[in-house]
Amino acid sequence: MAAGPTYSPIATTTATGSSTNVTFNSISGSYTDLVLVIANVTAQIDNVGITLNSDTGSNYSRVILQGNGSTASSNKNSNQTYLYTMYKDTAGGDPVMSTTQFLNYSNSTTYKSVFTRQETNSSGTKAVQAIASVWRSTSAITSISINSGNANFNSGATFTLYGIAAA
Amino acid sequence: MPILGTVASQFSGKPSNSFESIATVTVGAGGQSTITFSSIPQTFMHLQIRGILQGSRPGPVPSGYAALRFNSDTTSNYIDHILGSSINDSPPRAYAATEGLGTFLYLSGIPGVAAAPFFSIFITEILDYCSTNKNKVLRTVEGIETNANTINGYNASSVSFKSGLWMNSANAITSITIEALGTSSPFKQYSQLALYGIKGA
Repeated sequence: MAAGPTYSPIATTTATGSSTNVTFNSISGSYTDLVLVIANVTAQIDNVGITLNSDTGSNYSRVILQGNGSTASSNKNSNQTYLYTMYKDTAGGDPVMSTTQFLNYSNSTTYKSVFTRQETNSSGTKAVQAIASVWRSTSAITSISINSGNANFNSGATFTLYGIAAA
Repeated sequence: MPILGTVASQFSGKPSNSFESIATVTVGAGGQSTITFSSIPQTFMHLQIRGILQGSRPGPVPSGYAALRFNSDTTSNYIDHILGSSINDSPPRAYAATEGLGTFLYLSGIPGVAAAPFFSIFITEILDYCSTNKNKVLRTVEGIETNANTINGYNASSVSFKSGLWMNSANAITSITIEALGTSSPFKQYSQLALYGIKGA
């Protein structure tokens, strides 16, 4: 009944400290889901966003559940210009990570549903967040661009894209 | 073992062989009220279900919920806990709740059929599902995001963590049934559920 192993690494990029952007292009449509793991981000960065297929229009929205170590809260942002994947770190120095799941990313009929978990635990910012997002496009996702906004990703920050193929 | 991908970076560059696809259901044009994974192989340590769902009620407000049951057990053997968002309150807030003994587990909210194709998203992990001496536990992350669409001032967007308990220690899980409740039924076309197995060492 099982169809064999899946959950395969597609590509990994390690930042060199000279760019605010990492992009995965020409993503194969042969998987069912994609998983993007961002780790070892220690730069003093602003919010990290993702744009899909180079779409910078106001076609993204999100709902956030979060805690800061003492208070739990939620928030909602409509008509945004990027998917939010990592909270700003106002101090830097401690690793920040996020995992973003793109389910059914290659179909051409549904808006794309995305789920992110991220954590920031530095002297400047403490946050654990769960984020449900949507990209209001029925296009298959073929590129993922991660943008740090105001500062270069530090050398050693890693960005790994995995594919999961359903039976 | 790349549960939810949170530790997957440790395996960067190494093909994983512990995560296997078992079965997938994609709902066809006629809709489908109940989706069942049966004859689940007992060769894994854990199970994961990944899915997107849309219900039948018009509009972007929630159609209701998708319910989950194990081994066709419809008696009061299930308990849920939830940590979720409540964005229609002013200001938006987080909340926690418990669903007492019930006849199913809440799996995921599902948006209705709007003019736009919004789908909910969820990932559920069922741990040690083959055990014949422990009650079964699961955890779920799920969300709906419908942008600024509202009906009667209500926006359906939500995100939550859930834990669930099936009080059955004697039986391994051999089937999983997911049902669209109430006016949400049936699940609409393009809804998709995929079942995966995660091996132990």
